[in-house]
Amino acid sequence: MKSDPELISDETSEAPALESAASHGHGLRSGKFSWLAFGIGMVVLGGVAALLLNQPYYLSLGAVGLLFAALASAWNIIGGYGGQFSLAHAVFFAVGGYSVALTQVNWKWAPWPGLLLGIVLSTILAALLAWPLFRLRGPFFAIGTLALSVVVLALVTWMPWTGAALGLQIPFNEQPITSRPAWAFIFLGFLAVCVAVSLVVSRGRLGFYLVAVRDDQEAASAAGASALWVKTLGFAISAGLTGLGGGLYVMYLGFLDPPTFLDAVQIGAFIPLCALIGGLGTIVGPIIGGLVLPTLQTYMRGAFSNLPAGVSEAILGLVLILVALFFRAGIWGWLTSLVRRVMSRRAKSDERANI
Amino acid sequence: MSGILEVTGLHSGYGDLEVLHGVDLSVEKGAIVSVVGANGAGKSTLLGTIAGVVRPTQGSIVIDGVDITGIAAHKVVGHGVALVPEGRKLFPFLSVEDNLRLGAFHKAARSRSKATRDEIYDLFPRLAERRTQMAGSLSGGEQQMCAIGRGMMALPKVLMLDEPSLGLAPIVVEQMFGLISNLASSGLTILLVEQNVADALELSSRASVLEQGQITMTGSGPELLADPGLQSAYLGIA
Amino acid sequence: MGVLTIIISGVLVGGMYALIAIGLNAVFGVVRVVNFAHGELVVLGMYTAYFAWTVWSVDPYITAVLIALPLGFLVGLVIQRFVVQRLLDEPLMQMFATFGLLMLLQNLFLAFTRGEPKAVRVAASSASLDFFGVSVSVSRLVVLGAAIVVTIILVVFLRQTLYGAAVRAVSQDRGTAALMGINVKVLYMVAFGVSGAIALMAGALMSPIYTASPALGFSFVLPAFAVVVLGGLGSIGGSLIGGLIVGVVEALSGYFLDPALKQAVWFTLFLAVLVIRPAGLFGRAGSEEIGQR
Repeated sequence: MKSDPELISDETSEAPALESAASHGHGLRSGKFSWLAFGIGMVVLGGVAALLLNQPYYLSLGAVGLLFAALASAWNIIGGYGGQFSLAHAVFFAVGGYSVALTQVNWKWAPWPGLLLGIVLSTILAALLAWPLFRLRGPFFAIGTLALSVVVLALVTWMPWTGAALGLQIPFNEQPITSRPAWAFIFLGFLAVCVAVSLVVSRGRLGFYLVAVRDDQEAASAAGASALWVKTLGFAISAGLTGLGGGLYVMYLGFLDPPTFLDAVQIGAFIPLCALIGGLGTIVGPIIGGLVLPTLQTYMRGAFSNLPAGVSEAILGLVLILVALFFRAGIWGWLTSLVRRVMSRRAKSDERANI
Repeated sequence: MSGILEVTGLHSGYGDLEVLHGVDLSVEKGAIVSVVGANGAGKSTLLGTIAGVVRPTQGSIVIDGVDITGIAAHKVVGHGVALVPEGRKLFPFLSVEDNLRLGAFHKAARSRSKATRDEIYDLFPRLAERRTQMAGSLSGGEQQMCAIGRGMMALPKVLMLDEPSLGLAPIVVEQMFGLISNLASSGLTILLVEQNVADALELSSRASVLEQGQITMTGSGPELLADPGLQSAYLGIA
Repeated sequence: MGVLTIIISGVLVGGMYALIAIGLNAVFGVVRVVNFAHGELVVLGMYTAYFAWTVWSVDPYITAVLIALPLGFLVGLVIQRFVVQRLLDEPLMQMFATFGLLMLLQNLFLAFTRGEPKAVRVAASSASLDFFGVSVSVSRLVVLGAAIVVTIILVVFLRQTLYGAAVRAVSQDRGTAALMGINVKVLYMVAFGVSGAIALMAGALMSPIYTASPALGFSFVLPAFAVVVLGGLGSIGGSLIGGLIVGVVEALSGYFLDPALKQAVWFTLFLAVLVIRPAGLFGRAGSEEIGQR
């Protein structure tokens, strides 16, 4: 009925949401180009890791960076493309971690089936939680997920079978991979999985609908996308990957204590932060954010070690505010717009030269 | 000829999308002036720009000798321009009475708020009956009355009505136009925007046709009604 | 310990939750912004009281009224003006920004206090009254009383005055409110200011009871959200009752189940309310959707 362009400002019609979904991911450069870029990117990251092989400090920094790059990419599926500010990903991270640690400590499983169990459990948990959580929208969803993670932390520290506040320790001789350098490559592999899944999702129908629902849920629903179903699917995929990350992280650390996996700020908010600082709703953004932010944090902790505790985290908080205010597109968004500006200026001067 | 509201060469739009491409409009004191046109011609944008909701990029808006071009929406009403927005936009969880009181929020109208409210209750006894009811629970016609009443509470020099007939039952539409015409004969200056071209032209002293962001025709209501081009385009008369 | 004792202690704790939640609701209900840093503002009030008490020997109750209220108003105003105002149509970025504010303030507290707990101990800290054979802490009674007084003032303001109607109008439709001549930007700044003032005052009033520490704020903000959602967005009276409910539920579950589970219990309550009745127990149905898109 209403196709009045003057209405665009208040009652957003269906067209813009779906158009913007279409313009992202279904552009000319999708498909083969992005897979090629993906391959090159992974090879470059692997090459950098290989160069750092006899630099254990930088290599372990890099390993953690790659882990968070992967986690941020996984979060970005529902948080960036889907626009759902989930603070509950710490829960899925912990589900993965506990799946590996509990099966290994109690039943002497090898970690690999534990990893698989972690993926399955976190995916199922996310799908089940999706129904109540996605009845909440916008800020209510954020609060609900934050509350969820706080309660799960309270529960696991209370229950004896999760090791309570002490957590779980995996005996050293039962850890299959103790070589630190190997972990950089394992986390790189994990990143490759997360990015590949993100590519498939974002270039496919699910990504299209996630963006449509993010931009305008009513319009997307009117156009035939079941908002609940789309968000549930995105949430479950994102959670499954995060569960895998949690399992790997417990193998890497060799122990699990509740706050390391479930802290609402250090994990729950930190993962979305990485995605934001890199660039929400893009493939490359979360990778950059994940590599940069933990490294920066470690660096600042070292650099400000003679200042009182808290200074580096306070700076991080300030950075977060500034990014939200002035660099909403993140590092990657800023870089691409810079390139675009330079290109268009060159195109203009070319035109002038031709005249 | 200088009206109480003078719009000259107005350009405006949303972001990169320009909707109005140089609109001129003059509203004389005590008249009903209507702007008619198809959906998407820019009618709501025109009223929105005058009300300060949409930023003009060029041109001027002068009310009673005061240039109000580009000032913030909350300041416009103080200069004597009140907008009754499309779709009424009442505050649904506020009582009818509170909705009316807020119409007279700006300083010049506030001191006379009670007296104006009583006049409006005399004019719309239905609103008086429902003064304590939530505005969201009123019928469509009552909501439109409440919205018009709220606009009048501002004691405007020009009352702008955006599609007052929208979404109302045909019989209520008749009543609404009758009411608007009564308001005008009591001395209120009205700028009316309508898709319902025939009814709007019938009660207007002057009217303009807006097409794709430009005024294409101006004349008295009856003149335009008799125009063959307009008849075929808007009234379905071949 | 009888059940009456538990309920009374629950009501007293609930008064504190209510007072914090009312401040949060002033922003969440009007500006529609989730201020994750609200708990930090409460802690800031506690540190303010501690500072005034140790440096100038000012009683925390005097600080609450004479220093915390105006300082809190200013802090809230600044947050709105320089952070939230720029992000009005960016709900995701608002959450990132207020979360950043939480991290910033919490860690500044840590850096400035070096993590040392700061306690204000005055006569009221240990004074108690006898209430039907149950001993009731005076300092907690003051907090409950403050919650009731603030509720009454705000409810009367919102219901009876033109400016109160303007606040409700803005929370329902800010675009149309501007057409009425309401300066939405200023109104938002004032709402944030009032929220900050109540938060810092609450902190100062609580300083004789609690020991201020940097992590305390985060433990306040979640129950406060639960209370706001339970009581209804924008419903100040709802926040008061919601606070009392959360306090009593927490006390009862702490006694009958396990103190470690009390959070889990009110969270379940909270999630159940959110899912069954998103408008909250006392909010108007549908009000949670308004201004949300």
